[in-house]
Amino acid sequence: MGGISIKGTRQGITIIINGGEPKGALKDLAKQLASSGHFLRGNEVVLEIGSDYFGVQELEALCGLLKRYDMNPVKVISESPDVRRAAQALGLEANKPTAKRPEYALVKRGPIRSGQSVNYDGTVLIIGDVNPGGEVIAGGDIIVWGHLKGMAYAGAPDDSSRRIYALSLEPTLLRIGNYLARPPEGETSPGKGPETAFVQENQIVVEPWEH
Amino acid sequence: MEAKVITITSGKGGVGKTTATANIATALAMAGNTVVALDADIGLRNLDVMMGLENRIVYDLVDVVEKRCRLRQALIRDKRFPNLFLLPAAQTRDKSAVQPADLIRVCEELRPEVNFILIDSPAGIEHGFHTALAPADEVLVITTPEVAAVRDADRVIGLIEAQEKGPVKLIINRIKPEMVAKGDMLTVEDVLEILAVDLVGIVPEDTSIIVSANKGVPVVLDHSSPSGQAFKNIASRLLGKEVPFMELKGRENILDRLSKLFRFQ
Ligand SMILES: Nc1ncnc2c1ncn2[C@@H]1O[C@H](COP(=O)(O)OP(=O)(O)OP(=O)(O)O)[C@@H](O)[C@H]1O
Ligand SMILES: [Mg+2]
Repeated sequence: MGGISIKGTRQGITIIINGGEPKGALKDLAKQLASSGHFLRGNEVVLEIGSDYFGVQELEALCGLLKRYDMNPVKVISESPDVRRAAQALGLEANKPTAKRPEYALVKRGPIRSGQSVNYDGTVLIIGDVNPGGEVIAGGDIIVWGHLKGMAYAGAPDDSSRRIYALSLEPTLLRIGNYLARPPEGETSPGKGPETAFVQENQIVVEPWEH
Repeated sequence: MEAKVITITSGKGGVGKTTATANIATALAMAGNTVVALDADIGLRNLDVMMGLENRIVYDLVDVVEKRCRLRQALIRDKRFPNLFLLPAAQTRDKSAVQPADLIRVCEELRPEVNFILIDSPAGIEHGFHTALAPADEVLVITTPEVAAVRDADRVIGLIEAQEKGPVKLIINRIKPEMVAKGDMLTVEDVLEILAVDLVGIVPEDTSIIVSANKGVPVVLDHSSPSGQAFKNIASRLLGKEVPFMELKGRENILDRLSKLFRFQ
C-alpha cells in the first residue's frame, strides 16, 4: 500500500502519492525528504494524489512539510473531486489527470472532405488534404501531408504543448490546447511551403517547418 | 443485357443535374444503347420538361412503387429515339413516397432489359439523395466552378464514399472560358485539386442550353453547340472510349496574357 515517488520534470518536481492513508504517506514522504530533500530546494511541486483521503487538513500538512524544504507546491492533480476542492481551498491549482495518450499515431488517407471529422486521442497523420469544412481533432500532434484548408485541433482538450504541421497551412481555424487562431481575414497565402503552428507566449504562432 | 445504373447528383441545387441527365441519356441512346432516364426528384420533376415529354405522362414512379400500374406502363418512349425511355417522377407527392429499397427494386426489374439507367437526383443530402444513390453502380457528381458548389460537391463525395458507392466521377458544368482566362473563376485544375476524383467531363456555359431546355430538345441534338459536344464526349467516356478533354480557350487579349507572365506587385 501507499508508495511515494518523486520525479523531476521540465517544469519542476512531481510528487506522486499512490493511494493509501494520508498519515502513512506523509511519514514516507518525510523520510524521503530527510535523505534527499535538500536537492529539491527552490522547486515548484506538482502533487499527483491517487488517494481519496486528502482533505484540507491533510493537504495543509503536506504543503507544510514541502515548505520546510523550501519547495513551493503549486498544483494538485487528482481524480477525486473532494481532493481537488480541498486543493482549491488552499489556493492551489487543481486538475483532473489527463488521459494517457495512445502510443501510435493514426494514419489516414485524405482528402478529409467537407463534413468529415477525424477524431483520435493521439497523434494524427493525414496523407492528403484536409478540405474546407473537414476537421481533424487529435489529443496529440497533427501532421497533414498536404493542404490543411479545414479545421485542425491538436492537443484536445487542453494540451497546449502540441503542434500542427502541414505542407501547406491554409486553415479556416486552428486550435491547440486552450488556444485558438484564425488566419487574418482575406489573406490567402498558398505557396509559402511547409509550416508548423504551436503555442508561444499565450498565442498560436506559425513558422516554417524545417526539420 | 445487364444495365449499368448511373446516378447523377450534386449537393448544391441548380448546377445542372437534370440538364446532364437528359443530355447524357440522349447521347447514350444516339450511340445505340437502350436507356432509361429515371427522375428521382419526386415533387419537383423537371426531366420530362427537358426531354419534351411532359404531356405524355400518364403514370409515374410513385404509381409503380405503389403498384397502381406496371413498370412498363409508366415508361414513356422518347419522340426521336425508340430506344430511349423516361420514367417520370410524381409531381404531387414528396420524397418519402419512394424508399431506397423501392428504387433498387425498380432498377432490378429494368436491368435485364436495358443498357443504361440514368437517375436524376434531387438537390441536397437528405432522404431523396440517399434513395437516388441506393441502386447506383456508378455516381456522377456535377458541380459548377464556384466555391460554394465545390464545397457541397466535396461533402456529397464524402457521403458517397462512406457508402462505398464510389469511385465518383466528376462533371464540371458552366465553365466560362473568358472568366477562367482572366483568373476570375476557379479553373478545372483548382476544382480537381480540391475534390481529388476522376474527371469525366467539362461543359461550357452555353445559352443554347437554356433555349433547348425550354423547347424540350436536349442540346446534344444541336450539332453546332459546344455544350452538346461536351455531353456527347461524356457519353463516349462512359462507354469506355478515350476522348480528349475540350480546350476551353476564351479570347484572351494581349494584356491578359502579359499579366499572366508577370506578377504585378
Ligand atoms: N452549361 C450551361 N450553360 C448555361 N445554362 C446552363 C448550363 N447548365 C445548366 N444550365 C441552366 O441552369 C439551370 C439549372 O439547371 P438544372 O435544372 O439542370 O439543374 P439541377 O441541378 O437539376 O437543379 P435542381 O437542383 O433544382 O434539380 C437551368 O435553367 C439550365 O438551363
Ligand atoms: Mg433537377
